[in-house]
Amino acid sequence: MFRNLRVSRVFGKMRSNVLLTIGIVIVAICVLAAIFAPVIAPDAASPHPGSRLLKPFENMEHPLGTDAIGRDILSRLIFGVRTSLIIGIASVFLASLIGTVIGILSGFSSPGIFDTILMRITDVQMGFPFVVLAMIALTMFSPNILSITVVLSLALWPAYARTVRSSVILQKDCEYIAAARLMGASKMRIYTRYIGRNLLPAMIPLFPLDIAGMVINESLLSYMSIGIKPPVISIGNIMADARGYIASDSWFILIPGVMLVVMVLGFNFIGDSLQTILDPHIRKK
Amino acid sequence: MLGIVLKRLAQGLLVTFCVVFISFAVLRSIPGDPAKIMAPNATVEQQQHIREEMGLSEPVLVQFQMYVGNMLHGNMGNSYFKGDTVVNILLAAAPLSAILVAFALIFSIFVSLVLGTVAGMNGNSAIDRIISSFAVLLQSMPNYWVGAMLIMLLSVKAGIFPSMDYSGPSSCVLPIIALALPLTSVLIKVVRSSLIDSYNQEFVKAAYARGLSGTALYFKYALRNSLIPLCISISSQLGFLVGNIVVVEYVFNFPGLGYIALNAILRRDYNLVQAVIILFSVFFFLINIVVDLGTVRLDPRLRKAEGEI
Repeated sequence: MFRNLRVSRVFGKMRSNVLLTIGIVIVAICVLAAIFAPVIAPDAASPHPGSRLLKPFENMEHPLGTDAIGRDILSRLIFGVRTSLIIGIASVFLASLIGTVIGILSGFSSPGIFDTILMRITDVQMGFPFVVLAMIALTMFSPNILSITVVLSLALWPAYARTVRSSVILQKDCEYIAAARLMGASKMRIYTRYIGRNLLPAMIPLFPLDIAGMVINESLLSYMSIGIKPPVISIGNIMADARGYIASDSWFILIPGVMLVVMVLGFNFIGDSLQTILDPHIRKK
Repeated sequence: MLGIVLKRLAQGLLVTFCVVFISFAVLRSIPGDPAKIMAPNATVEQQQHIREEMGLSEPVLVQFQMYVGNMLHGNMGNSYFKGDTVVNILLAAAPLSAILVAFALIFSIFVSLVLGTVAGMNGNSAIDRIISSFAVLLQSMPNYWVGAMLIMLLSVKAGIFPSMDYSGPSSCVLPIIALALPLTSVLIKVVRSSLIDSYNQEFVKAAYARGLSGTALYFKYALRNSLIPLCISISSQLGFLVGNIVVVEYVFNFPGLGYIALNAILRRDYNLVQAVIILFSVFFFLINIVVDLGTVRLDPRLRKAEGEI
């Protein structure tokens, strides 16, 4: 039984490389589509009143069909992917930046008042359901790409702060830190070269996984009509348009959903595989 | 044990107080005058009257003091749209949401224990791969879309369940599934990997060497050890679960707390929003206490740290 498990980990690593490749391909296609959206999908906004609710694969001019006022769904999806990626990547970047800085400060001052206060703030922040936070924030500030990015990172940074803090607390009494200090390394150098570098294996897999989560959360807000507002296109508001057609034209909500799931899967594959590859616990075996 | 409960309760009260205060301050600073939104055609005098009745012309701190005082007497004000007291509205909606959450939790724990065990015990066999891929796939599906797909397949096409609105217990089935699936996918992974870890632990190997096998080894040693990470990840997922109530109730037009909260925020129904937020955070920290206590009970090391053994 135990032998078997060890063999299984090696298999697990091989499999994770296949998934990593699939994930990278999916994400690369999405990123390219997002960058070149205006070139490959110029027809996102113009309605064709003559061809409302065309089914997919019926008319090759609109391969994925048209929506309720005759706009090409494929073009709209490409622009939706663009919005999702911008918001997903920007919010994870912002959250990890805030979270890392606060986590390092908190970890180094632990145990102490400063650390306690920072951790209680993350408690409150995490205790507050994200959707409720977003609803309140987005009624205060008009929802656009910038405000949604800020709201999403507001919900995410405590997770980074905690990961970083616990890693800093584990590391700060290690001998190599003491050695670096004895060699006269400055605080900044210890933060970045020693502690910071050791944070990376835990944090790198979190980026794709969190981007996946944030892409879902953005589409969710737009679906509930408190997120991205037309004329900006988001996968969420394409699906919100389809909400009234679940019974009559079910492909209309199916297609944007599948697109979203594939994109999110790509990011999740990358994150999961990186976790397996970068985890020294597994790598050792 | 009592010491832990009291400590957690005190912490929870403090956090709840902060949540109440912050949300109170934030809600009061939302642009848009509620008096104008509620009575757009009223005269200036009438609007002034509404403002005074709601205490909106007082400074925020005074309003807060009045609010907390009333709340402690069981009075959370009236909802200006529903024409009923906030307490009554919440009493009607809370059981529905509680049912959703309770059954979603039970569903997730049960399904993830079964599937996670099957996957973990057969590490990297075909069945493990199928279950693990299924979990990743589930995790990648937004739950409002899952909800829409469930409506499409099970109520529109197959006609088994009612699709929208609340019309008896059968209306709860689809929302429960939609609420439970994302949580289930996370928990399956946790159970699987922690079972694999458990079987590599010395104390399980020792039990195996002593001749224990099969079900006894699984239930008494491996599973018991794996329940700890399960509890921890449930508590870390609770925020998402509570937030997802809003989403799922929106998708299914289900008249629970989340649906009420969304509508209340869009209509600037301060008293109602405030009350729902308080309820959400109280509920959140109560479940957290239960999960924390469960974790401490399960892990002898923690029990020792808390001075129990």
